[in-house]
Amino acid sequence: MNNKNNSSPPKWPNRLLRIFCAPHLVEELEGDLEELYFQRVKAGDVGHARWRYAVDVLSMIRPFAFKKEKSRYPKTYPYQPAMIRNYFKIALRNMWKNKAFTFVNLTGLVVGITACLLILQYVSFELSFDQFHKGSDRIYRVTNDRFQQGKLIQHGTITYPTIGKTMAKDYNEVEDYTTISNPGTFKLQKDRKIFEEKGVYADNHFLSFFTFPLLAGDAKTALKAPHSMVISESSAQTVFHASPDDYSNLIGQSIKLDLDTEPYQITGVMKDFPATSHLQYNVLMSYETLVVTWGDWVNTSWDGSDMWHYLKLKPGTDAANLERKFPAFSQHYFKGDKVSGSMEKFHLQPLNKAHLFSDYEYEIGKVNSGKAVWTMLIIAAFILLIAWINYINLSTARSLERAKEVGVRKVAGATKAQLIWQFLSESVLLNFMALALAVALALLMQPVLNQLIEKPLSFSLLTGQGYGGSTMALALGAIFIFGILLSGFYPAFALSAFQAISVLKGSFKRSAKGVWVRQSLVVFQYTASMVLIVGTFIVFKQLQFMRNESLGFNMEQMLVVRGPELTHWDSTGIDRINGFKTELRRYPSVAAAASSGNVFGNRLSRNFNIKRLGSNDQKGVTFSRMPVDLDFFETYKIKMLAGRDFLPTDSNPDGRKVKNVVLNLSAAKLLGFQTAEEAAGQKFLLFGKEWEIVGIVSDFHQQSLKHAIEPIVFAPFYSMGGFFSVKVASKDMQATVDLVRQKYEEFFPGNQFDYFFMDQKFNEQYKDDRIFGQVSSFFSLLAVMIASLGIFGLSSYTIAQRTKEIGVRKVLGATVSSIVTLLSQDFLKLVLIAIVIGSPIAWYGVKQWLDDFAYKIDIEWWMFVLAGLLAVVIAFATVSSQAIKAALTNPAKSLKSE
Amino acid sequence: MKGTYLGEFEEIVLLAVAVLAGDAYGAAITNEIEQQMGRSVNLGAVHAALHRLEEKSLLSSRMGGATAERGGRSKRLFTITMAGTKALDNIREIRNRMWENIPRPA
Repeated sequence: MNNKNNSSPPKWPNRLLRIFCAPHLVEELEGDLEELYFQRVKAGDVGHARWRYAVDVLSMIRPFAFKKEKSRYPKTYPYQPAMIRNYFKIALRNMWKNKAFTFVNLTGLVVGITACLLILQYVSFELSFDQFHKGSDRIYRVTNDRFQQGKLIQHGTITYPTIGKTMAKDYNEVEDYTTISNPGTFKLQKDRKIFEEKGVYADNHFLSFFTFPLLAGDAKTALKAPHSMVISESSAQTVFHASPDDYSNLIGQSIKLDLDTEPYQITGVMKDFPATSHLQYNVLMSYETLVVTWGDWVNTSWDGSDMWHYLKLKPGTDAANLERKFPAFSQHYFKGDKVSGSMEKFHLQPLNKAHLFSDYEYEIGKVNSGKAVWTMLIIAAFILLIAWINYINLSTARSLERAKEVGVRKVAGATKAQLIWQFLSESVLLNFMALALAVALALLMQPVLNQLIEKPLSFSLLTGQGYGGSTMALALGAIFIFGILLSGFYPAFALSAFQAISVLKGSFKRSAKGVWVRQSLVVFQYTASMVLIVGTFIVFKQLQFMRNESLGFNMEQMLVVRGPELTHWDSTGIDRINGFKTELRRYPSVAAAASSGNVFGNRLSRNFNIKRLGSNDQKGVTFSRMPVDLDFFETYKIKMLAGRDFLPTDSNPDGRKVKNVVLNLSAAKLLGFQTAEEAAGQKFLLFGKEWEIVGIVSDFHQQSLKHAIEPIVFAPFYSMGGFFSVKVASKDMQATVDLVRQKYEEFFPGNQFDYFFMDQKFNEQYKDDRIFGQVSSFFSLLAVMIASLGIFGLSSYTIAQRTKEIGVRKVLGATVSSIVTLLSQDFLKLVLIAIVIGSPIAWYGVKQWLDDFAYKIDIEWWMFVLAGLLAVVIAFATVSSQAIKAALTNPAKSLKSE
Repeated sequence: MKGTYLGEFEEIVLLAVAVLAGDAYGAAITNEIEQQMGRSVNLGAVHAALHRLEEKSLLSSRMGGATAERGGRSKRLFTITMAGTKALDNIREIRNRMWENIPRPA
């Protein structure tokens, strides 16, 4: 109408209407609104009209307005079986048509998924340690930190005999406890044969506390009486040649153990401990036996410690709450440091941490590095991601080829949704083929991997018997399906978004849109590769460093023979040991021989509360101790810094009369001496007795470089339970071993001749690291390879797109090298960005790993440069082969077409 | 339940369509109801009722002529169907019967 005094209706309700209202209703509704508005304006009040206008619009926010218009044409059901069959048919044909591409794509996926599966097996195995015990989440190990003058002197899993039972008595929260002690290798003697078995003394609770089922015998009483012994199924077979039917007949049989005069009674046969137990024993002896052989202190002592205690808490108990009561416990029973000489702090370590996340001394079980396991998991994730990214990159890069197909399909009436389903089904098909191949490949490779890493891995994870049970298997399946869909989505959307008109017109060019997605994916791939290359490089450097670092003693050609443990010690012991050594030295193939109570590479025992004589210092220090004889330092070529070596007169068959010792330099310094010379001839107090320091030797790495050099006191004690170290001068090692064996059996009849080579044994400490290095580098290599595969496919594609451009450039006079540079540039830029991003991540990662070593290499800038260079070279090599091929093509050929 | 029951407002809208006979569309119906009942009615409520009635097949609609006062937009014209007429008759009959059944004061 023509009202002059009016304005048009308010704008915003209209905008709102268009947002929520179905398009086909907008016109009539707007018409009605406007008609009413002008009528109301005409009636007088503009403000009222505007107000009613807005209210009317708001009143339309109702279901009727949202409903979409019904289509006038019949709709095709998008999931018709015929159509889906057709999708797969087209997919197969496409794969067949582009064999090379399919191969690259499939290889990347198969290798990636296989590697990922294998690593997951390993991770699952490591994480599932000790989970098989009933109520394993309620089981804790008591750990014990000892402090002297506020300084941590021992961070151990061992503690005093009374702790377990006292805690069980004092605290309601504790449901049960078990105590074990004196683990080691025991010599079982049966029918004049000696069998070495790993064993431990365990109390009567042990078999019911842990889930180690008995095949014969009564779990409640098997470990009750002194000199009872429970053996594992496999030792029943090796020692008694028993078949499963015989197990019950073994009960009550007797067997001799080590030097014990009283024979042990077999009271049970148990199933072998699962491989995923941190405790690994074939024989269990009753704890009561220790009361007989070691004395009553193993039940009552508050200051002698060699026991491991496990507590099972009642359901619903908060372990942290219980731990808070431990300081009061220490105060009550240890009265500061009055009872045991040190301040005692107790903690509860969850059982599931005992294998992977335990940094304690006197570790009883198999310990692996949790960091290594997590690293492997990260590598697995990287590999899988890289493989999927490859898939995304390759399929989107290939999209041009299929643009025409998309155009024709759209013209023929395909909806976008249908096209998305089509391409998604293609990726699902390819991915499932890859998954199936990968599972098969992983099954084939499992035994090889098991041999390499010496672990009994299985496919339990996939069948729901591994870590986390069936939930984990389902989660894993979900991750794979999610990944498959996700990697299919991007290409599917990119492809189905093509406009039919522009594609079919014939002038369709690769759009710049989406390029950055592919580029950032390549950057991610190379960042991951960079991290892995640096990591592998540094792991190897560190391993090399540890192997080559001078240890401070010489262990080449060192044959070590276990002492004659079954020979009784008497006053002639020293003479017999020296006689054996002298006899050996008569032969030219033996350069030197010595005996010692322990060998390097093993943990040394400790003496606490050592005080320097003549100093007013109240505080005592702690030394590691090692009994050695007078030939020891000479045999191992350990340098004497001051004073003298041991003399025959320093030793005595009566250990109480020994009073001269040798220290290493660290020990001398710990006592407060500035130099070795200063310490020589001085004395210190231990066990209420004065000891004279007759000599000082230089420091050396008594254990792997993961451990710091310890202060050590060497005392000239002899024992039958130690080791003979024989330095071999001859090249013919076998003959020398035979000679030593023959003499050993002459001198110590009835003992088993056991030997090893010192360097092998010492380097065994690096076994886990070595395996970690091998495995992680293998998989890192795989990851880098898959990433290269991706860049290879991508570059071959982009270069193919530019064939014409290259032809024109060549016609205009470009050289081959300038074209290669041009083509490689794009990719090298991405790799450089990846190096910049990857370096700090890699630096952080390797720093974490190196922190585990007391002696380690420095992380230096050139390592990153080297790794970066390697990444660039790999990328350049993959790209340039394609680029050179393109640059060498005759331009007449490439320009001829069209 | 659809088609078997008419709400009070639906009944009024249906009546308005019948009254307007051939020229019934959103704005006109709103005006008609406002005038007849002397109360203001929201356009949204009217349209919602119209849609429901059409779903119940009591009304049918077609797009009709545009006029200048609605900015040249076409309107949706509603006509009452046979079923709609029958429904109105039915209601009226019931009410009449009930009225007659009210006992008169002596």
